[in-house]
Amino acid sequence: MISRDILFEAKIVRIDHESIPVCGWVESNGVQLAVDLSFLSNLAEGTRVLVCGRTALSTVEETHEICR
Amino acid sequence: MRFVDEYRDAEAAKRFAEQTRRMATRRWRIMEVCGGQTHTLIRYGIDEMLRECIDPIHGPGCPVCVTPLEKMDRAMAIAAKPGVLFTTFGDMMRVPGSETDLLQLKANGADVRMVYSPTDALKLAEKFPEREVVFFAVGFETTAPANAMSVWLAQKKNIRNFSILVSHVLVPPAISAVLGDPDCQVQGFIAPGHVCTVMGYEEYEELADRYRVPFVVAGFEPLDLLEGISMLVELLESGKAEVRNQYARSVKREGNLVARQILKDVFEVSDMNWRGIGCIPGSGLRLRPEYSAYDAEKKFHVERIQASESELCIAGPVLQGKKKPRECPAFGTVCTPEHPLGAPMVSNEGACAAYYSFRRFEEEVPHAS
Repeated sequence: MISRDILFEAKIVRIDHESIPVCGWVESNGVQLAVDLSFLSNLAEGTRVLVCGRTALSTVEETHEICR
Repeated sequence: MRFVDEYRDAEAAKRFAEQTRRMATRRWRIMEVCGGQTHTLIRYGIDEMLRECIDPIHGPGCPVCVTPLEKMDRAMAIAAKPGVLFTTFGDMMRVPGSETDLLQLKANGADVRMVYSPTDALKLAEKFPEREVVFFAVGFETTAPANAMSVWLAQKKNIRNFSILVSHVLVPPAISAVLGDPDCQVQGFIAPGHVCTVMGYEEYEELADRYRVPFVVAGFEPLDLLEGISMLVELLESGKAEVRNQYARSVKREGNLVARQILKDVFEVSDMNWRGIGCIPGSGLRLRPEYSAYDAEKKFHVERIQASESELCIAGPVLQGKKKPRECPAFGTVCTPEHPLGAPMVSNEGACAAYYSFRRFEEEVPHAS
């Protein structure tokens, strides 16, 4: 059962700049998923994003100090 | 690195907990707003780790739990209509209405389908033009942008057999209602990280200033919450009513401006009835008049359906943080995840479900304040 609040982090592997809205594919733990990227700008393959359902809501900074 | 494991490191967790214990001179009453944060707190025992420093009060941040009963009954009424293809996120399937739930309706022959996105529902409307496709648009600000996008796209593509049943709620008015309650004992807040990913945290600065309480925007992994609580205790100990952002890897002060714009384009603010709490002015969203053709309540004439709650269920006080789930006489007996009386026992973000999953065999240990 999907939990709306368990947003997950994933990495963009492909962007379809021609689609409306802009879509792409992200990968997380070996699984690929098609998502809506239209809420984000300056995207590139390899960008980490936060995904809700099938919508990317933000980019994610690469590292975080608390994990060091 | 697997994206989340790094935020569950036990040694780092112990360091944060020790840091918080050193700082705290008393036990602070803090509210974590979001149901996902409640689950992390309970599941990983963070409340137990920090029991000398914090008394967590679980907030109403479970959108499934606060969906009003009449909205559930309207959903059932629509789903039961011939020709309707009713779509929803999976977590709404077993939320009880007055008589039944969507999963039971599906078992009885209604076409109810689980989808992962409102645009999946829109694709079904394109695929089945002879059916009326409805999406149950439930959630806080986090899920609202995708729902707004689906309606905007439907209008752009002139798709007429699509509509959404809106039950969107907003966090800041709910916090304002909590703080405005004369019985409120909350001294500081852990603000919802994913809501703030969309909306930013400017509104929380206004709340901090008005009510003189601190907020820390935090994520959902154990280290996020431990760091967030540490930051909040630091603010409380120094008497500062300010806002800090622990979830900086995703949250900006202004949020996601593109998402906020589409929300403004498609929705407008309205009063909203919260299940177990009552009406909170300006705490909901509804479709703007120019998108009224996509409003499922109007399309299927179900606005007049009303409902009244079970007398046994204490979801209201639980959602307001006035009672813990184990104080409910029905907890774990009459009310279980298999046979829930209310939404907090069904939802993945519900406090009752969290306590049932991780704490139901523990005895309550009294703690001197």
